[in-house]
Amino acid sequence: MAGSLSMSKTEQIIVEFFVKCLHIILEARIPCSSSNSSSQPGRDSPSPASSSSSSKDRWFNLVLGDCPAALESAEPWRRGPGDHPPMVVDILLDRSSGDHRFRGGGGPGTPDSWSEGEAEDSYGTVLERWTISHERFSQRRSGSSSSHALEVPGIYKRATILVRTLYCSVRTLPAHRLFHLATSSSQSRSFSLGFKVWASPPPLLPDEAAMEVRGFAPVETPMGRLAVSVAYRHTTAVTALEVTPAILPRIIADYVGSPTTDPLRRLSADSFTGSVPCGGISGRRGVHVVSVPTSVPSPPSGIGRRHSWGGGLNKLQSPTLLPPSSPSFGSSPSSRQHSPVAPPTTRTNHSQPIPIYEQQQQRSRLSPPNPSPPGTCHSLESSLARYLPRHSTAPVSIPKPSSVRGLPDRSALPPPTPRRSFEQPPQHVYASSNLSGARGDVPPRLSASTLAESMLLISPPHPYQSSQGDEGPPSGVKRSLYGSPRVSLSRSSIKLRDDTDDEEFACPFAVDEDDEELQSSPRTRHTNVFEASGPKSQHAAVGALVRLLKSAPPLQGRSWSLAGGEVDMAAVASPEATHQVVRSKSRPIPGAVQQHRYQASAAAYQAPHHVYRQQQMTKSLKTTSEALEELEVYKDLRKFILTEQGSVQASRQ
Amino acid sequence: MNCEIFHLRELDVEPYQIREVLRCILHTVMFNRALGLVRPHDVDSELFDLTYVQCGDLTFEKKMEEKIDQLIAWVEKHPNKKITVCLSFYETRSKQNAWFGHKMERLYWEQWYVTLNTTVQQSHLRSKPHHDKLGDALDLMTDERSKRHALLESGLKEVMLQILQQVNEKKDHVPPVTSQDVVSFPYEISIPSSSDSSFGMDMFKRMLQTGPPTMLG
Repeated sequence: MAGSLSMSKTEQIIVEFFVKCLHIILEARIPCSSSNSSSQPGRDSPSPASSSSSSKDRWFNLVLGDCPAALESAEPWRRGPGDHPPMVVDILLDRSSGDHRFRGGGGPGTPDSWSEGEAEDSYGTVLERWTISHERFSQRRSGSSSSHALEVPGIYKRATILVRTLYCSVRTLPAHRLFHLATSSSQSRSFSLGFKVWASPPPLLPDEAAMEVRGFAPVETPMGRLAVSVAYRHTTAVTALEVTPAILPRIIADYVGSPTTDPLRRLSADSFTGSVPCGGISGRRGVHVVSVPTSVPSPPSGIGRRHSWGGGLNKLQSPTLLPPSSPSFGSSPSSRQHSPVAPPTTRTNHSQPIPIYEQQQQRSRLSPPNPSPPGTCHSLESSLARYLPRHSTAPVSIPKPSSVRGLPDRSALPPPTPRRSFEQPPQHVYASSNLSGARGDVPPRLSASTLAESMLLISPPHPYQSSQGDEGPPSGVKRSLYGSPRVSLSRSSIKLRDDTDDEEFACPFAVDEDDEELQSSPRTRHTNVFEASGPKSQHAAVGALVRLLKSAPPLQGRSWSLAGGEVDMAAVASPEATHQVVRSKSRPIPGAVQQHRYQASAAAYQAPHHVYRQQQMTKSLKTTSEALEELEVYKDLRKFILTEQGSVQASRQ
Repeated sequence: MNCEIFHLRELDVEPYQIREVLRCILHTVMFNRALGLVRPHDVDSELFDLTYVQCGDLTFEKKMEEKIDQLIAWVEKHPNKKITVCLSFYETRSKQNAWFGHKMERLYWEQWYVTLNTTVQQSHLRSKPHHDKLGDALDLMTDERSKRHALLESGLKEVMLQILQQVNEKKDHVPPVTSQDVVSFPYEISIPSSSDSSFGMDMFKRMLQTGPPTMLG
């Protein structure tokens, strides 16, 4: 009677040992498998622990909380006495979904089938295989030496120690790291940990069979031996499966002060060695020149580098990690995915990190290119051409400032550069703008050498600029660099920028390079210049006119025409007045303005010759000495008249 | 009853690492020897990439922290020395002495010796005066420190595996559980004393208390 009671208690210990071990394993591997997490501090208060925990949970003096999965999966081992088959628990890594997948267990009655649970498409990767068994002896052992050890208290004590050891060991294995990641991440993840409980498990694959094995000292019982062992993947294999951090290191292109947000950084002298004038650039355009070393290093193949880009997360894989292709799962091997297991990627909201160029694409919308006359600055063009790829076959014109109104038509923008064209180390700065001349075109792939040559980073136009509308966006610049056959770097855009900046200068009549070039260039070019350049040349012409007037001979009471325009020199007392007169005449009827501009410019162009002629005419008429003599004569006459008047008055009195 | 003595692997630690290392080791041993009703508490180490388990007994935790504080103070006075911390489990028995009556004696049935080699790292600027650049020296110092840290972490993990293996292999000497407390067996934490006495003196005192080892278990 006592023996049978002891045997029944021993049997109960064995059964509960199976359940407790399964509970420990699932609680440390499957997220949300236990309602009462063991991470809660268990403080020194036995009474609360004893009152809150169920009787079943107090087995082996280890309170873990409820675990429905363990209870349900271990149910087949609870049924009735008898031989207890080994319980094999496979911890699986499932990459197919971000949600936790709960898999049931195949009890002793259903060794080769899935129990109730979700249908699955792939088994996943076996991270660990735990084996809990009670190896029965062929015949009951008899011996007085170990009789006391085979008593129920001794069995229970040793089983308790084994359970403690198992609890600690589960947290020392590499797979516990994945469990930490799965439980610590609040965002959706692209992997899940599952389990499968077998009574007759399928054999491990060769790569899985090579896993390390750790065994625990068994607990002797009168009928056999309670044993626990685990086959687990090595640390490096599990490390390769780890997810990337939620916050992926990536280049933040739009940080405060960056060229994309602060378009004032253009063509800095440090980064650009051309002859682009830096001082006159007010930074209203989105053109930056960033020097890039000609020797562009190839993208490193290391995991760390790919981490930084975010593009290679899925490439973290071990060649030995292959999903099993056991036929017991009812699917043909061909239907299985034998591709290497890719690691769980990111815990962000996106399955893959958004490439940087796409992010910039979402932010930046560049104005379309508009035709404009060829550039006007030879030096600028030549200097820029040295650093920019010459992909253009025809110049791209820039719209006239007066004709551009409102926001640019962004619908005509070609798509921005795809990220795959820019798989370069982060130190490079890429143009985020369109690469092709047509909408919807796929930008050409960019080579490293092209990137090294092309140093312009194009930013979206300044909102202030776009609202003004009178200045064309540097569309020519935008579509310049990356293989578009219709695009060339437009100096005129930069030139246009210079023009607008000159408005801020204190001396609008200063002679600049344009005037000098106008003097030496053909007339047709000047025509285009003045038509396109606008106010700058007009001011220059006015300045030239003023200089002409300054050097003109003294007022002689006669007017002379200035290339068709009437200027009353008598009314002109100062160069400023002259300027105002000319300006008033050149105001605002566009056609007349242009005509006056041309005429004024033509006059300015001819100014030196006209002054010379005037001087000659003055000399032919009268010299200064003669004028002084005439003045003396007038004085004498005046004196005479005054004396005559005085004598007449005296005689009357 | 034989006393099982376990000498754990020696670890090279810096003074700031002593507390965390001892926490990992002592809590792991105690959790496997506290056979009372336990609600385990997982703790992620602050310094190392590992998780150890606490039994949840506040008394033990308090006593352990006090001992660690005393040890750290002792290490500050005696730098660069090998220190040994011993966690002992015993049971008390009343021994009847014909001359002095009943006397309570301690029977140690298990002892865990943790040996730590405390090293205070010298500045590499002084050790390598040929480093002209401060940045290189600092980088070198940082690299070496990280290497030592990695070595210590791997060594600590090995120590924990050693504990789990030995605590489970030898269970027959564990006395029966008679207490309802979480920590079911009385224990003692021994550290080097502040009186500069060698650790052997503590052992001598223990021998006087426990008496000669018995042959019968």
